[in-house]
Amino acid sequence: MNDIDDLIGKVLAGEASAEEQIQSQNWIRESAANQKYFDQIKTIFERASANQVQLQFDADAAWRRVKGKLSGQKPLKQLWFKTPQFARTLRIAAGLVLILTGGLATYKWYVQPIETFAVVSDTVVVSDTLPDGSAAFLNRKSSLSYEYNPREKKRKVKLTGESFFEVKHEEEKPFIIEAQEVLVQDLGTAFNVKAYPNSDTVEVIVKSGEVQIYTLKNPGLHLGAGETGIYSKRSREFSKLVKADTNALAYKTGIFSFNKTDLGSIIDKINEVYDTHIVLNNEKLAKCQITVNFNNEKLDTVIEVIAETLNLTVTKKEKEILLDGAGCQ
Amino acid sequence: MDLLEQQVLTALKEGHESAFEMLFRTYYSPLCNYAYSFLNDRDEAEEVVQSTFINVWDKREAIEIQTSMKSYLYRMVRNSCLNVIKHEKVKKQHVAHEMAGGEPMHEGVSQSVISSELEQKIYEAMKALPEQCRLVFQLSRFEELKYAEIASQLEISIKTVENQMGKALKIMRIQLKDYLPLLLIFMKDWIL
Repeated sequence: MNDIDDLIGKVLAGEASAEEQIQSQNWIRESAANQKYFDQIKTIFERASANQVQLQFDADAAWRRVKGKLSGQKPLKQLWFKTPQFARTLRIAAGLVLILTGGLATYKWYVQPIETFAVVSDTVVVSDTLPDGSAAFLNRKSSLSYEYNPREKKRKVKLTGESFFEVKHEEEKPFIIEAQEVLVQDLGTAFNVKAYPNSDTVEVIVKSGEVQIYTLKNPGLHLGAGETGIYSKRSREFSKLVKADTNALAYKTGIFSFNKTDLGSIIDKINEVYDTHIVLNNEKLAKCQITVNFNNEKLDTVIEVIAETLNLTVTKKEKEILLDGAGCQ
Repeated sequence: MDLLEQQVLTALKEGHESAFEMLFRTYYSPLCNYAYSFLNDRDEAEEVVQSTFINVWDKREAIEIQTSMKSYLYRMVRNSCLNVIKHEKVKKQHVAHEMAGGEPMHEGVSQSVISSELEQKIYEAMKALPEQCRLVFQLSRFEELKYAEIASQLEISIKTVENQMGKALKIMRIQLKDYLPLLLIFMKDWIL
């Protein structure tokens, strides 16, 4: 009787040819029993449903897991943990570790998964603490991914954009940042790395401590506190800046220090840090020099002070702030 | 695809993680339920869905969607599930457990879809089918795949698909025989 089930199946699934449909109708009409047979199967087909139970799944927890795996490249090791077979091995091995004691380095290796973590910023500065206790302050439109590989004992960070780091120094676990092609190794420090993809340079400013910046082909530079190192992607060379730009870290500290600086540059800096669009209506204004310091002030205060100092009018429009005035000389 | 979806897709292609996160949070649970209907295993279902999303992120720049984001995701998950099944044995224990007490595997993390006793019985019978039968039935009935498509997905002949479908219906009819006659009397009117 399998043939009739196949036939009925085709009819219900919409796969029967015209001839087959006639065939089935003839069969059904042969007897009441056949009719009943058909009705039963039709009921089953139509009343079948895919879900009887809606299981709840923890999207939050899942997102945290997935987010950590979103950098551009997946380290080869991660693939191991993706396969169900390996995940099962992990669970079994974890169970074993509880029972066995001492000196089983191989089991320990299996049990410690690679720790990954990611931080992304978009329109505001973002700060976060990395799993090892180090802190990262990201400027806008930046992202970093952190990975600690217990076998290699290296803390690796991949950075796109700009971030300030306060590294928790650990001798046996070097902290290495990969910023575009440049590698920055902390030697006990707080420093800033600027590595935007469309910029020709990668800049590292050391606030305290020391770092070594290098590439795979170039042993690079050692930088001490207060020093700035610049790598040019084009020339593939490192150089040290003689005078550090004290305002480069403004986005992190909110502290500006302008000493007879021309207004044009000041406005540029403020626009960068506060994500505003301040425009000077009068070109001559750009050359006005002022000496002024700001310490974590609100944008309005900053603009007010500048306007007061140079006798400027402030006009707030929908997408920009206009400063106007007579100029300086 | 509606305008909002179009925007989300564009944002995704440009690499905005927030768009991706939105898609993730919107579709994660339903997709897991969907994967569960194939795999009968919570962890595997989550594993498949998470891998699918990561895949989507990795290939975001090249995504071309004709239909909708939703059907694109569902299709990817379905294909992954079928792949997993191809490489793994289905866990019959899970099915047996579900059948036994009718209780869900994990207490307190599920809610019952309101349905009649008949539908519940049909569901149980379906889940207890031999694996290929169940898959063919599911793909035809719920995914609305043509036999030719099912044949291609499962790498079997169309004839085999016909046979498996027939077998599925035959087995279920025998199992549910006791439930059907009674109810048929009342339902006669609406079936036709």
